[in-house]
Amino acid sequence: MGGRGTYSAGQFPRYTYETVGKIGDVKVLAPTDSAKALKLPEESHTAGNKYVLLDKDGVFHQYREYNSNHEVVLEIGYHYERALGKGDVLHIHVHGKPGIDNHNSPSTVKRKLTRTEYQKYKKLFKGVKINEGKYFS
Amino acid sequence: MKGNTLAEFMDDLLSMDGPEREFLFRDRFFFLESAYQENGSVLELYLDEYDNRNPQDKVFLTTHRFLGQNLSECVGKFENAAIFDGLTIYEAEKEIEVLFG
Repeated sequence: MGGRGTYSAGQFPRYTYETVGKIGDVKVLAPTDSAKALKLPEESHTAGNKYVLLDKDGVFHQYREYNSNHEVVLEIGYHYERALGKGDVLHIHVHGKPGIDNHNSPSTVKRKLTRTEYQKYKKLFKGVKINEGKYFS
Repeated sequence: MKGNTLAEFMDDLLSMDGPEREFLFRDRFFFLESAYQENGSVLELYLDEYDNRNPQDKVFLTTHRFLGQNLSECVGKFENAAIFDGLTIYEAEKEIEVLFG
């Protein structure tokens, strides 16, 4: 990742994220400049990578998976999302078409996690308060 | 603006499909996102506004909606909207802290 998180097609832009830990085989990233807002890169530096973002209290905030072209294909978030519930809501965006520019396109599905998805990813959800009746689709 | 530059904030709205963004303005918390309406033909950039005087128990106040045929139209309406205590994003930006996005 580089200039604001883009792969930049083989260029060597300035890194804007650093690895600050790992959960299993998933890197935990943070902006190199602590004054910057929290976010994950729009494209991965390494093809097929996965990254987690924790908030300033160490609570899970976002997870992204990228494909072989470095594009986002799946995202899980834990934050205010009023359309899905009150307060911080654990939810998933499954991209019908890869890439951040399709994040809110009609082909991308946003919903609560299934129980199967929750079981698959739960090790990443550091500090998340789970109320099964509230958070599962 | 803290957390983003104003240019980053505005550019990302157009280039990243209306990215999820959380920010503070005075005693308010905002969650910004875009979404297509159910028929897929109209796009909506929306900001949920919360009373943030007690950050652990934010109270929902209202949703600001900007509709358009594309994101550029939505962002254009957002740019001109005085939704921050009567200020536009350009007038309010010095008091905005972006937390996420």
